[in-house]
Amino acid sequence: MELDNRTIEKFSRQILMDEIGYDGQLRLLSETVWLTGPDPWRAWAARYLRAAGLEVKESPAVKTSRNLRLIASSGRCPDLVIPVSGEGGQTMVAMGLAMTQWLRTLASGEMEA
Amino acid sequence: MRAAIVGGGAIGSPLAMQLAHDPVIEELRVIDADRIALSNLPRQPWFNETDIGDFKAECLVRYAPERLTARVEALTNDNAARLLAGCDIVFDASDNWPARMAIQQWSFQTGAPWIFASALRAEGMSALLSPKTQCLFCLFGTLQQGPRCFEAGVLGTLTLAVAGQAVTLWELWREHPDDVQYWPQGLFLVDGVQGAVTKIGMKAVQCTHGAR
Repeated sequence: MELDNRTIEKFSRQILMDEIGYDGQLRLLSETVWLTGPDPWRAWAARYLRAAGLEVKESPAVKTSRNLRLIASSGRCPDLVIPVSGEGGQTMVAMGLAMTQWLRTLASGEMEA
Repeated sequence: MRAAIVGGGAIGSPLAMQLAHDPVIEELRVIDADRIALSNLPRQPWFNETDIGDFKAECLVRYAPERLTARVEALTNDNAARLLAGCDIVFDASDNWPARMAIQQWSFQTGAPWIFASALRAEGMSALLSPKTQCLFCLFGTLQQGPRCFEAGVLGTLTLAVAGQAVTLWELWREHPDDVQYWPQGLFLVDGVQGAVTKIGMKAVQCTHGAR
């Protein structure tokens, strides 16, 4: 699989990062993630994951759920659980940092070996 | 309260979406002269392909027209007094030093606080700044524009975390807007590699840069 010019332009700021690069962006574009958890934060996570290039399949959580859960269908990355019951700012930080590390791991392909 | 967000991009858009639901804020201005481009979409996920070419500020307002207003202008020293008039606090999401210098000058002139935020690669930072505590010069000395996102790259999820740190500083400040003792001090580093926020303490700093 090769990325066309429009796709390269779209994801150029991610491809510029050493931790992502061209091969990493290819891995992100070929990944499907199963996502569950309470709104509004599930919808926020879905936006950022889709924007990064992943396919996202969402399922609503039971009302008492206080965590987001991300499962990479490829198995290239361990499941990710993010607590989202704190204040808004705290939740945004937790989601942003956890998904950043998760995407870097997915893009690196290190789990494949 | 009235607030403004300078920049409607990667940090400004999640700020606007979260603060638009904050009951303390009656008016939130989004100030940005830029139009939405294809390469914005991976880290500005409130915009989609059909929005390309529209103004960022106007696109964000469509999500919460009852709370958000758009100013399609680039903030400068010359227009800051007009664009930021009446604001109790200003959020920096600008990605450039001239805009930050304009906010800093406005802060010196009015005495009002602002929240600085920036992100690059997998790292970012944020701080609550005011003439009563610490300013941009206290943190960084003489300023220069460093590499920007189009040169060095950045991850959208990291900009979400940095916006979250700015919201956290806001949440702490709005509890005690009239009592400096309770304001969060220092520079908060948001590290997407380690997955942690680290505070660099600035307790001893008493800003004198704004004295006239």
